[in-house]
Amino acid sequence: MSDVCLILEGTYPYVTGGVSSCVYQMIKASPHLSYSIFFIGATQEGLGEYKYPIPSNVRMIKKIFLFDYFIEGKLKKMGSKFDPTLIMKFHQEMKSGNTKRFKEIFTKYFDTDSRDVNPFDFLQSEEAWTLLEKMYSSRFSPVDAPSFIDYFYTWRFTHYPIFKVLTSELPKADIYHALCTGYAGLAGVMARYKFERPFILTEHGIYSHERRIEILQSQWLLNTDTDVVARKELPIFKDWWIKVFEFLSLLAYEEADVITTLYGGNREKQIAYGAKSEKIRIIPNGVDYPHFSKPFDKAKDDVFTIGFVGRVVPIKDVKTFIKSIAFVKGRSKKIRVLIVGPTEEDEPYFHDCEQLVELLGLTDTIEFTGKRNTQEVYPIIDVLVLSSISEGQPLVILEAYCQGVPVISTDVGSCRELIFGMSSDDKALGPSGDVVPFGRADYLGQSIVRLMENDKLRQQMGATAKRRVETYYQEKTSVGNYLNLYNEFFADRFWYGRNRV
Amino acid sequence: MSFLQIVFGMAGIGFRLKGYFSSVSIADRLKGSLYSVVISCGPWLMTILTIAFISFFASNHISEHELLVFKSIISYSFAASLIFFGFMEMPLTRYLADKLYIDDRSSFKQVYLLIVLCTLIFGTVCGGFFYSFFSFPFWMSLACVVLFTTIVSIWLSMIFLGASKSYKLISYGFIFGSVFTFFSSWLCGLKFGLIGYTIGYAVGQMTVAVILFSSLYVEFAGREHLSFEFLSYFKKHRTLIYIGALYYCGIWVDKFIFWMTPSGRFVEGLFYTNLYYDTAMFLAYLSIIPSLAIFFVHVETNFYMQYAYFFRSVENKENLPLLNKNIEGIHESLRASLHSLFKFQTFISVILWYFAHEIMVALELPTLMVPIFRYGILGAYLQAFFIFCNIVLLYFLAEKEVLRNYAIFFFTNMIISFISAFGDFKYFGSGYTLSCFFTLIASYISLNKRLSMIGVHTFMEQPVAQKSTINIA
Repeated sequence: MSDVCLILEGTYPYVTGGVSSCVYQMIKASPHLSYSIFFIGATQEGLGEYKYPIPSNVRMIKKIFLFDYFIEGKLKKMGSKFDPTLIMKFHQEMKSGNTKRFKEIFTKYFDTDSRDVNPFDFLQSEEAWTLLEKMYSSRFSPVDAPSFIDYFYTWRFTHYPIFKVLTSELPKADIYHALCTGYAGLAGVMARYKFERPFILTEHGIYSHERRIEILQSQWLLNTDTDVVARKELPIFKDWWIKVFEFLSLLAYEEADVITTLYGGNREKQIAYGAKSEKIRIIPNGVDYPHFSKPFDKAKDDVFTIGFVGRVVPIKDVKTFIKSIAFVKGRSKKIRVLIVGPTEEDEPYFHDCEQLVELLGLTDTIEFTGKRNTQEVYPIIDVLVLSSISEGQPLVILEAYCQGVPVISTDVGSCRELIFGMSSDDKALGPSGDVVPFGRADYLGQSIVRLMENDKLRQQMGATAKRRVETYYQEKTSVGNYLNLYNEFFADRFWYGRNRV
Repeated sequence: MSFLQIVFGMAGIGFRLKGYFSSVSIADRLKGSLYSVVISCGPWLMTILTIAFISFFASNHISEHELLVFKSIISYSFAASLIFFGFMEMPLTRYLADKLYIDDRSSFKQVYLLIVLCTLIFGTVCGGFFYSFFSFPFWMSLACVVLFTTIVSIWLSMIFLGASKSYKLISYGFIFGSVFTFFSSWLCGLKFGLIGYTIGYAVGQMTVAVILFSSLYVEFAGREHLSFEFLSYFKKHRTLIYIGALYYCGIWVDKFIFWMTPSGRFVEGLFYTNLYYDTAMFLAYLSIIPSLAIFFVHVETNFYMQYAYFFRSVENKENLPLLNKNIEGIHESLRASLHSLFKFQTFISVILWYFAHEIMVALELPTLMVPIFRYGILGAYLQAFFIFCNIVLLYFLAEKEVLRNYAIFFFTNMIISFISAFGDFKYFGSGYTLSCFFTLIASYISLNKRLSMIGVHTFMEQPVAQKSTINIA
């Protein structure tokens, strides 16, 4: 029995990234709490080593792998305890966004303590066949009916991972905390049903949204659009997967006691996907302020230095940034541009960027530094630019703030909140940079020029930046917010205990 | 009788023979029928006909006892080789069919050589042991052992025929081999009596074996690749081993019982026989040979086309209404085949049944055999249908059902035959008939059930065990 069970899907401790480091910081910062980890991975193969140390207050790590399939391929019968009308009703209600019957399904068919059937048998059962046939023929007319084998496998593959989660054994804990919706959220829902424990749901990125983009771009999903017939709706198998993920999100939103996310924009998306607004709290990510704010003794010269920190990949829209420099060059000041970050991730794109630099005659101005210790970069730049098409809550902005560097960013993710402030107190601090629409090199250029030519404004913004990160975005604040949340529920520990008995 | 040989192997040949059947020319059609008769029932027909002819001619030269010994040698070799072969037949045919499906014949020659070699060694040991209980002269015993192993190797070659293209050569090889067997046996017999008949017969059969062996060897030549993969089929498809074994044991168990029980007769060494029962039954079996030969090729080609068409439509990602239509196509082709098999075989069997007495008289056989012969006709008639059902079941991988059906066949045949063997003479053969009846009912029910669930089985029995590379992280 641990205090908190963290339900992690494809993140800590095997994969690096924002969620993983957040989790790691949290565990490290709370040695008085014991944790168990329920790790949900794709396949055991290629999992690799731990990418983070495991603090000693992590008591156990339980792993399940969703896509390590095993379906025997023997025809099974579910028997008389199986009620197909329940399944039909559940699917019917699901269409209108009603998830209530899921609990009944879980108790009857999945919960190892109360179930009457082996749910995996269902994937190879006569009963499933009857249901599939019924649903298929009621949904499609002979004219638009899709490939049946694809329908069949999509059914199996959409359901299998769900069955796997629902039949796995969760570590016992006082609080369950899932770090995304999807399968992790499902495990949280299961804990909520089974142990009647508080379930906290944290979404850094919006799972449904990310999966949707991934599925639409993916090649591996069965595509029915091989014919030339124009279709308004999505290919049905992609649509199916998207609906599954949307359902999982909705279910987790419904059952979670508290939902947290990083910034207001995400909150709006969660509400759009069905979360109740009163459940949602915003806990932004923080940076290690004492570390990043350490003064750096490298002398800064007179050249106005514009920094870009990030991978040179299309989503960061480095090209727009390069074009914007053409507007800035040849003004009152001598400028230098540093593009700091790995270039090898998308070689063709990097090559395009280099050509663009040459074409615009900026070879002497723009330097691709490759990967560098960013701590050495912030002290020597005057302004940080972010030209991304999409962002969550970019840590580079906060890191730059620690050194009092103002930021000009595109209006994506939480950038507007980070630059103009979120709460009214925060807003009162004033802007710590500027926000421009994405993909507009002209606006971006003009904004850079404005800051370059107004030293006073820039310095003021820099000071605000430092104050902002110090007040609202420190790692300890962020971690503290999560721990406070736990504490709220620990206070209720006895209530839950009684309820259970 | 090797009905099961037709099961997997024949689909291939059936396709090639279809050219003959779809042709307009009567000569071509006859040729097609001849090939299919020879290929599906060659060894069986050859044995019955040569025995019949040799007995007819030999009865003037050797004593009745010696003739009985001679017949026993042949029918024991025949029975034992089939049961022996029954254990290997189905896994091997499945292996060949799987390889043919992916058009990979590279291992056939070596597998064929290896199996024939093992059979020869094992057969010699078993045969040697068996004939050590007889007081035959050495050359006689040797001929008997050689005959046994030769027949087993002919059965084995028959399986590989499914993978062969030279069915013309093989058909003529059989016809020539039978004629040669008859003459060599007769001529040697004239000179040396029983030992001559036996050696001559063995030499004749060896000729057939050599013709089959060399034509297969030449055809598979140049594909030098020794693979022991086929051994895994014996492990993976254990049910198939039992199916083959139960089937052949089922076919022979009533004969064994009638040999051993009081109505049977001691011949010599370990030989027992039952003259009336054997002869009547063997003759009765002849009644379904035309059906087996012609209709089974027909059925298998028509049915197999619908069958393959359905599975191809699944793979080609067709929609459910179309799949259901193709399932209906399978049903219809089977219904049509059953219907014409029914018409044709009923006609033949009814006539033979009606004229049973006259036939016995014409063949100068004792009319005491008539009741057994009639039971045999009826039993074989039913057997033709239950074989049909089980072959189709095997196409749908319903191995458990087939195993159950053949277990019913074996056990009911054993029990009822045993009881009837102690009863009145006029009930001899009723065990076989009743057993075929029960087996047919069970087979028919399981086939119907299976056919109504083609979709369920096809999809739900798809195993999934691979590790997918789908990335969810």
